[in-house]
Amino acid sequence: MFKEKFKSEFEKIKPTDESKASVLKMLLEKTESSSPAPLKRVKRARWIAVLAAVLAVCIVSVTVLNLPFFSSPLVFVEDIEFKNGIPASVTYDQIYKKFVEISKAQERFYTYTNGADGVILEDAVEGDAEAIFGGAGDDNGSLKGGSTAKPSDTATDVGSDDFSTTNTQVEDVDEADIVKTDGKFIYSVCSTLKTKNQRINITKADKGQLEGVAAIEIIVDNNTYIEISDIYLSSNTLAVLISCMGDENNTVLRLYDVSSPYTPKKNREITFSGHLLSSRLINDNIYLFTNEQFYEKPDRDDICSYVPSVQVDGGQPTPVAEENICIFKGAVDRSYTSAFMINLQSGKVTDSKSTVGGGATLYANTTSIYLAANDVSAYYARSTDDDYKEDDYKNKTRLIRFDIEKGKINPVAEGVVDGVPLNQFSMDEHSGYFRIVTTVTNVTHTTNEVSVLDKELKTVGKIKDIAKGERVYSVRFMGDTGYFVTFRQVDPLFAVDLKDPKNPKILSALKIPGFSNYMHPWGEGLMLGVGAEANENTGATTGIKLSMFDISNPENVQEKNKEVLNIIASDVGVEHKSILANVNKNLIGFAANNGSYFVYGYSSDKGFTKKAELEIPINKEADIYYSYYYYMQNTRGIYIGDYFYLVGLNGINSYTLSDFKAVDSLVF
Amino acid sequence: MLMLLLNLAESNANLSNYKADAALAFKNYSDTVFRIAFLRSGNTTDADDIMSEVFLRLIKNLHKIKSEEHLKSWLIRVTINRSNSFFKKQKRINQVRIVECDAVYEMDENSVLPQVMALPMHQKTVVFMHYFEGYSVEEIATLCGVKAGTVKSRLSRAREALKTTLKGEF
Repeated sequence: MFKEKFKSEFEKIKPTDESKASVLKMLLEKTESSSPAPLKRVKRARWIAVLAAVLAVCIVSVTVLNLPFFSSPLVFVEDIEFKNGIPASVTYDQIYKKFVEISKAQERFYTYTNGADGVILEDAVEGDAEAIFGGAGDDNGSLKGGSTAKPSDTATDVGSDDFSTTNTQVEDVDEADIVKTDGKFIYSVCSTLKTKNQRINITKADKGQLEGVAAIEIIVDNNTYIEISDIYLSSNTLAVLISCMGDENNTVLRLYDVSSPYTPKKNREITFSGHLLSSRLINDNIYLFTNEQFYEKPDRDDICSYVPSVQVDGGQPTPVAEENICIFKGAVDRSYTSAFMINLQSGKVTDSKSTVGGGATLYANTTSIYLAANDVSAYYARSTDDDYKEDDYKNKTRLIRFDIEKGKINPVAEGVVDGVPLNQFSMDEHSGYFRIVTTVTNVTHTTNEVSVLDKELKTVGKIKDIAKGERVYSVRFMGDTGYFVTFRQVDPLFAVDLKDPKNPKILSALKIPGFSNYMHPWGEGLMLGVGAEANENTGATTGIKLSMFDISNPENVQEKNKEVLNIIASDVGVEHKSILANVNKNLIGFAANNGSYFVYGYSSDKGFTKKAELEIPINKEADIYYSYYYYMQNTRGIYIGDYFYLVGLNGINSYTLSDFKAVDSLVF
Repeated sequence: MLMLLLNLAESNANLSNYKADAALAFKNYSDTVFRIAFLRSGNTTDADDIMSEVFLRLIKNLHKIKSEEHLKSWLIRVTINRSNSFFKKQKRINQVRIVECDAVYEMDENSVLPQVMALPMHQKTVVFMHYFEGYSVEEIATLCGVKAGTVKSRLSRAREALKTTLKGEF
């Protein structure tokens, strides 16, 4: 009976005709000689969707099915001395013992993560990280049509000092992105599949005239999935972050000397174990955060089997030193979040710290870095199912504050709040207090909270139970006031007064259809919102919406102007770096999934005015078909002087900034 | 569009054997591959991605395929592998977000599918292979590269869990 029912129900699950057609088209169009599998920049949101689905399954198993696999006691480290939440000292041996304990406990929880017999290797990954990236210096950057160009061409009269930078959250804290410029040259990450390799293109941009001067190719092994995540550019040094996903997840940081962009020179290659979580560039120091999970049983003699490691220029992997590892009380799994500090000038790893437990979201200003991690200890803490406490099912976030003022990364405080933050904008530090907006899910109820914490990460003020049944869509803190949007059918935009840290209060809640999933300060008393318009009754989204909010009086926030586009998606809510928003130049630029890049302007009397709708550079002859969505995610608009450059996967188009007339174009 | 492409592939005109083989394999087994990917990833978007990845791998390895049986078992193995590595990557992001799940099947009160989907990864895979694809315990063991005893225990654990949740259905 079960068999028939299962069969008939499962038969209904099949791919849609559209997705079938697109795969088949790809198969038929693919040339026979092309053997390597295609490389794709995986959309991060999808990963999260999978994770959420898995979590949903877990929650259902726990609550509905009462499966026994979540009922083991919590593993605490009793023999480690804790001082203000931070362990005083840890030795490799203590970590080893703890990991053995955890691995035993986990075997009982996760019947599905049993790496030993669960993973089937289809074919072995050939070579390790060094082999993949080739020997030293063989891919230092090949000249592309640059035989006539001499390195001395880097004259100062090229380009302009007035150019756009990556849209970041905090001033003086740079964030990595796929396009960077120094006002003379544009560095862009390109993964066109013509070459099957990932590339960084260096293009000279002089008054709208484009000239490809060099390209740095990253050689890809067929069986390893490599992706140039992002790049940084800081005074003649180009830092390239590469995610390497093979048998093991590694993060590779390469530093190139680009004092002459015609001949970029590789200076250093540092391989960090674990996958890239996030990074920041503050005062010529890169702070790099990785997550690493250990699945296999630890081997006492091989320290790298239970401790994160760093490998410089293909040398021996060095494990993070004992004194730099801390285990927090809440740690329950065999995963680490490691923080590395790399000086761009010397190319040296100047500090490394590892904390046990997986991090998720990062907020950094010039003095502190806050790491938010999903706290699951309550699940494990339950000894039996009868022990049910409603609180146990609340999702929680563990916060760690790293002090970076003294040239080192020092973990100084640990704290816990209910709920999870949406993204880095959910967190902020202002005059000594840390503020966080979280969505709290308790099996079936969802509410939202604002918490204010002191430097020791003790909660001092809190607003609970905001917007029941809705979740946070975007947050922006501006000094003493915080703004956030929750959404189900209509969009309440909340303004919160945080002047008194012990007594935060809601000032106003503006209800309008649709929602903003990115908010950006727009000069004096105004705030720009980018999101989607939605049907008031059903909550179904109908198109991209630009809103200008009047926030001059936080007690009475108004939507002053709005503009709705008849196009479904932009990437701004997911990736804040994809928007170009500049008040002085009066530019609002973003890519949409119809293959266009929109440029808007705003004035208080006319509202939003469309300045241009530009076509994203797409190579229609590429041998792999990509959706507009993919191109949209990989397109950035920048300006240098009086010219606007649209930098995409396949090329760059340049326009005049005054009236967006096409000047030049370059195909990679 | 789909029918057109399939007809084109079947008529063999203007197509090398190589491509025709791949297209035929896709026609016959895309559903199976998609189902396993869905089973393991839990949503259709990722299942789509895994499916396209698997068939691209097939093109690369088509010369190694010996028979129709081999083709099917190869595809199942690679799908499990691909979704595993996909899943492994996900696990490292310790983050929870509420996303709208796509409703791909209509459920009534007596549906068994949600209960199967709620099983642990390995268990639902053996349930699928045994009850849907009709493989024997030994065949599943070879396919998954584990011992027959392991398959048996996974199957019996899954049965036990389903017995309690499905109440009489099983």
